[in-house]
Order: sequence, then C-alpha cells, then structure tokens
Amino acid sequence: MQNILVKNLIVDFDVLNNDGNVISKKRAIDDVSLTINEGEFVCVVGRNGSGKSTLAKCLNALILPSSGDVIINGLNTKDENNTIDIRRQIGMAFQNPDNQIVASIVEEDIAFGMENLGISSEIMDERIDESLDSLGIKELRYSLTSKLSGGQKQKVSIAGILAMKSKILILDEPTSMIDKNGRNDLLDRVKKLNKEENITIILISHYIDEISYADRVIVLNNGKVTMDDTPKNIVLRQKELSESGIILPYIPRLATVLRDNGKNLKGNEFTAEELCQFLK
Amino acid sequence: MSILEVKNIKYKYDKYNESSKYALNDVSFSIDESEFTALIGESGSGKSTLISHLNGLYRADSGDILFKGKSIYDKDFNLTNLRFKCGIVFQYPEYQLFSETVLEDVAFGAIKKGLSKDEAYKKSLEVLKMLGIDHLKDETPFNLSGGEKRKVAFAGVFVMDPDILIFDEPDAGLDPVSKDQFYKLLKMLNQKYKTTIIYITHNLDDVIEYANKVIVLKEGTVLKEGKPYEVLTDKEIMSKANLDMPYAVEIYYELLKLGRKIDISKLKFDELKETLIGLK
Amino acid sequence: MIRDITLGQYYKTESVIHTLDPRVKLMATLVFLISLFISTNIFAYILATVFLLAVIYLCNVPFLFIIRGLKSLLVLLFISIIFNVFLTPGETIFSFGPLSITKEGLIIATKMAIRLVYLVIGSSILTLTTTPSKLTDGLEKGLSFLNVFKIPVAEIALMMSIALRFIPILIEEVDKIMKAQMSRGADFEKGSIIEKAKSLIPLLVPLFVSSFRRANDLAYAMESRCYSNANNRTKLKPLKYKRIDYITYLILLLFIILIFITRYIKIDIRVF
Repeated sequence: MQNILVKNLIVDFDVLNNDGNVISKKRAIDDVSLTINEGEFVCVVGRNGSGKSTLAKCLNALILPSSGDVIINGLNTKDENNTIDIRRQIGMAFQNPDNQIVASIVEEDIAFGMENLGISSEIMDERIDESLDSLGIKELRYSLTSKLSGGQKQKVSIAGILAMKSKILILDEPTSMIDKNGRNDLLDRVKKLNKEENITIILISHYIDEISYADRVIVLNNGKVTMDDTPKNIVLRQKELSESGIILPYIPRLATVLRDNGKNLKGNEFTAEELCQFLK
Repeated sequence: MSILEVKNIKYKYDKYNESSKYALNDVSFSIDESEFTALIGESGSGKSTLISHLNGLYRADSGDILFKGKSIYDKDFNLTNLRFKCGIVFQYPEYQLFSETVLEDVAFGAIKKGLSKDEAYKKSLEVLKMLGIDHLKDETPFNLSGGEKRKVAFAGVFVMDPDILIFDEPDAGLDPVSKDQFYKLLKMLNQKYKTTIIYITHNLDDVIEYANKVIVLKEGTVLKEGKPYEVLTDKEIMSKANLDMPYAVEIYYELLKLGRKIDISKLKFDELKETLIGLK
Repeated sequence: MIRDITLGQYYKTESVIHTLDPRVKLMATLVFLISLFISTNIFAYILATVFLLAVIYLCNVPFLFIIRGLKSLLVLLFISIIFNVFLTPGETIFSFGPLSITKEGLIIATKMAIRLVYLVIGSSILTLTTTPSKLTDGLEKGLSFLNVFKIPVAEIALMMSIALRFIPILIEEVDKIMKAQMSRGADFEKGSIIEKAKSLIPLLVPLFVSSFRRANDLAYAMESRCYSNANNRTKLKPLKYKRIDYITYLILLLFIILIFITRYIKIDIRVF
C-alpha cells in the first residue's frame, strides 16, 4: 500500500530585494519523484540548504508545490479541502523544541492537536496517557514544558502527534538541539514506534550517524534526489556521497580505509564490533 | 605558564532559595597558554554557566578566577578589558548579529575596544579574509546561511584580538563538511597563533581529534581533567558523567576484548587507522 | 537581573488557590484591585492586608518568590514616592530650600506605595497559581459574551496564552543576547540616556529577529497540528465550578462589602 507519492515536485521560492520586490526565483526542490510505503523508516540527509526541510514541509501541505504533485494516501495536497485530513495523517516534529510547544503543561500541549480535531475530553484523557506511555515519559504528564530537557520536549511533541493517531511521522532534524545521549534515546524510541506500532517514519537529519536507524536513505543535494538506497549500501558509494557534500560516519569511514588497505571488511560496518571482525 | 586559573568557584542561580542546587559547586582547574581544551558533560552539568564566569559575565558566589596571575575580582581589575582578552562565541550566532552589513557587525567589538572606525574596518576585513568570507562584507548578516552566520559571529569576536577564545558548542547545527572546516580553522589558530582555545562540545570523536585537554563536568563539579585519551577511556568517569564513549574508544575496548592491546595515546583517526592497518 | 521578573510565571505546587477555577481567581484579582483604589482609610488597608496575607499563606508559594517581582518595580516605586512626597501641597513638616515635605504628601506617598506593591503582589499571585492556559481559558469563558460584538475572544485568548508561555523563553533569550553582546564590549549600563538607548540596538535587533523566527516556526507547528479555527475546538479540561469556587465567590462578596463599609467609618487619621 502506498502512503506517500511525490511526482515531479518542484518548489520555487521568491528572492526579494530590500524593497520587497521579487527579483528572482530560487529553486529549492528540483523535480523530485519518490514513493514512501507504509511502515518504512526513511532517513533524508543532505547538507544545509539541500532542500530537506522544504521537502518535509511539502508532505503535510505546509508548503504547496510550484509544480508537480504530492499525494498522501490518495489525497492531493493542492486541494485545500484535504489539508486538515492530510495533517491528521502526517504529524511533524520540528528542529527547535521550544518553538513547537504551545502550552505550559505537558498534557495540555499534547491535547492541542486533539482539541483542534474536536475530540471529546474523555478520549483525550485516555490518549494522552497512551501516547506518553509509548514514548516512555508517562511521569511527565503534569510537568511544566519549560522545565523539560530538549530531548523530553521532542518526545512531548511526538506524543502530541501520536495522540492524533497519525500513522506517518516526519521528524525535521529533531536531534540537532539535543545532546548525544538524548539523541540516541529519542531515536531508539522512534525506532520502536516504527517496529511495534508500524508508524511510517521520515527522519530529516544532518547527522550522518543517524542513517543507521533507517531502512532506507534518501540523499538530497541542490533540491534533487541524488541517492536512494539502504544504509548498508549507501555508505559503500562514498564518491557519490562526497559529491553530495556528505562525509561518511566514523566507523564506515574507518572500515572503508581499512578495506582499501587490504583488510577483510566490506566498508559498510556500523559498529565497533562489526569493524573488529577482520581480526578474527 | 597558566593563563587562566579557576579556584574553587561556586555559583547558584536561585540565590533566594536556600535549598536550591549550585550550578557550579567548587570548580577548580587551570588552563595553560596555547592549550586546546574541550569542556564536556551532559546538558545541565554547568558548562555554559562556567564559561560565562571566565570573562566575568557572571560573578562567582565564592572562589576566585586568575587571568594571567591576577584575580579578576580585584577592585582595580579591568573587567571590560578582560572581555576583549577572553573572547566568547556563544552558541547561536543570531544572538550577536544586528548591523546592516557584515563588516559593520564584525567591527563592533573592535570599535568598543577603542580602535578608530577606519582601523576597526580594516582589521575586520583582514579577519573576514582569513575566514574566507570577505566577499560577504556588504551583505546583511540576516540573509546568510547558518555556517556563514557562525563565521561572522566568530569574526566579530576574533577581531578583538583575544588571547583566549571560548566557544559554546561551535559545531551544533553545522553539517559535517562545515564542521570539519571549522575545526581545522581552530586547529590552525591554535598552532600558528598560539591562541588558547576552550570549547564546549558533545561531539567526543572530535575531542580526540582536535583537543589536547578535556575537562568533564557533572552537576557543577569537575569529575576529571586530563589528556583526551586519559579521560575518554576512563569507563568509570564516562558512565558517571552519563556520556557515551566516542567511536575510537569503543574500538579500543573492542580490540582489547579480542586480546589486542593498542597504544591508548594514539586514538586520532589517522593514528588509529595506521595501528589497525598494522594489525594482523 | 532580568531573571527576577516573575510576572507571567507559573509556580507549580499544590494548594487551594491553585485548584480554584480561573474565573474565580480573575474575579478575585479584579475585586482586590478595585478594593485598593476605593480604600480610603486605615481599616480598608488592614482588611486588604489581611486578605492578601491569607491568600499568600494559602497559595503555598514561597514568600520570597512572590515578592521577587517587586524588584523590577523599585525604580517606579521610588519615583512615585519622591514625586508625591515633595510635590503635594499642604501642611509642611520639613523643608530645605525650595523643597518641602508635607504631611499630605507623606500620606499620599504611603498610600501609593501600598497600592502599587499590593497590586503587583496580587497579580503575581494570579499568574503564579494559574497556568497560562487556564488563565486564558478563564478569560475566554468569562468574556465569551463579547462574541456577540464579533470580537474573536477565542483567538485572542489563545494568542495570550502563547504570549505568556513565551515570556520565560524571551527572558532567557534577552539574557543570552546580553551576554553575547557584553562579551563584545557592549555596555548596557553606562552613559547618558541617549547612549543607553543606542546601546539597546544590539540587544533589540537580535531579539526581534529571533522572535519573528520563533513566531514563524510556531505557526508551522500549530498548522501541522491541524489548527485552523479557534472556535470549533474542544477543551481537554472544560471549566466547571466546584463547591470551593462558590464559597470563594461568597468570600469575595463579603470582602468587597466590608471594604465599602469601611468608607463609612469616620476616623481621625491623626490618631495613627
């Protein structure tokens, strides 16, 4: 079953001069076509300005195509009547944890999306517990959002999306403002949601290390999809990666060098344990 | 000779509340001239609070800080002058940029330091050239990319000719390529101009690569300080500090498990690579 | 410095005051403020003090935390006292040169000071014990009659609650920007008024830039969570009056009646 269908998507932004007049167009997304199926865990990588965030915002109708189509479960984002339906199915968590939390108390923030959908307070009450539980932060229900760590704030945002019963989760660089422990912890949770609740995950990232969580990696450069492969395969295509401005993660990088020096390694090892296999 | 000595400083934010925790609790360490020091620790361990003490932005509740042997808390010590000598670049460049052009913005600190406008602009231009962004001098700083903004913010501090450069998470939000460039620049400044560098980071692999000293903080106290390979390979300290080990250290221990003991002081990427290539 | 502002901050703890319906608390604050301005003699002030102390005792927020908000008010307080003490005409108690302190001036200054301090403490308690969203829920429901006049009460209420939520974040941000600029030699304290105003530019520009970015991000986040029209929304916790709320309304009624009664107690102020 198809979840997300992107056909020849082009997005142009206006470039304004100081007087606010349009002087030129800047192409952010340049003829992208792809499909993402239910239950996939896709990681979209690319350097700053490659168009990854723009692509993400196209998927839930925050940005509309200049040409081409984005179709979510049969609903075209171009049709305004579909907007709310699409956003109910696709939840999105953003980079800055502070700028996406609406309420002062965790449960109130999680309720925000459901309140917008007109869900009754009894059902909300249940779903808040459920969604917090599936992220392992049940104890935070009555906490002040301003007192949470960056990682906890991101989890609250994701819980708010789960509570709306969204089946697709877009994470737009969710870890860039949280420390490494928080990062691993968050992505472990996300992986669990993907495996156990069959939530489709689209992770936008500039931490190349994070591709190891995904089943599929899409590389963007200058608004174009330059690569689309599994993590294990993609790290073997080092030359193409560096053309897209991406440096291999530490261990695959080391493994590649060792392989090129005649060691018995493939070059797509991701853990220290796998790397040291060549000594056996 | 030590350029900076921190002696038993204590600091708490909530001074009204007797039972509130100290953000810094008896912190002592010293920094030698032209050292390249990484300050690590989980979120909330006091790293940012600590660097704000080093140029006198915060005043410790007790304890002392010596800059080149003189207490910065002495009545006749010139704190404004210290700010020029101890340049801090904070995490978000957006918090620093305010002028109409990049050149003007960079010159701000130099003018505050007492240079004439012409001198300040000349000097700013030199710094921009050194960073390879002199073509941006007439742009407005707000339209730059994240990496460029960061360079401008850095230029704005560097133009004051500081003896010590202090950074709060200089790599957060940078893509791997820009990050590499940035660290190489720091290394160059450190080696060529003997600039003392102190920086906060979560990226421990880079600490091994670039720093020659590490200080680990936990709940406002120094857990350990020393050479990167001494500190980062200390399992007990790392788990106490709630930090994940860098990949190089993981590989070191993995090799140890396989009965191969390699030189612990050679964990930089290239050194590790050579060692591994040499292993049969 | 800047962290001392307590207005708009919620203090999380458990107390009777915290559990009250926000409409009751809004009404109580209003009644209290009115009582301050119609108080004419010492009895009214004693009554208001007792009322305030009772609330402070009941709300379970540390006293020092409550009065922290006064710190930012000291300058204003000082100016108003100076003006009143020296510029009120009347019976001179003490004079040097052209300046003279009058008895009336002293009385008015004291009244003003008490009013100002009580006003700040009273409204601080409201925000300290009520989460911004409850507060705005209360306003929304309490003012819903304005809908008749096509005033978008729900939207305004949501805007307010978001504004309140961002106060602590903005305060922290100002702190960070100040630190960044002070590290480049900026000085926000020295100089004449014009110089001071000029020195604020490096502070205000980044603050505006970042606020606009936050607003933009937040709008995206809200939209992607299906926000479209504030009127069709349901509420996680619809407001409902409890017994304690009705009791509080009664106490408030009693309080305001007592305040009115004090107006008719004739008393010669010189006794005190």
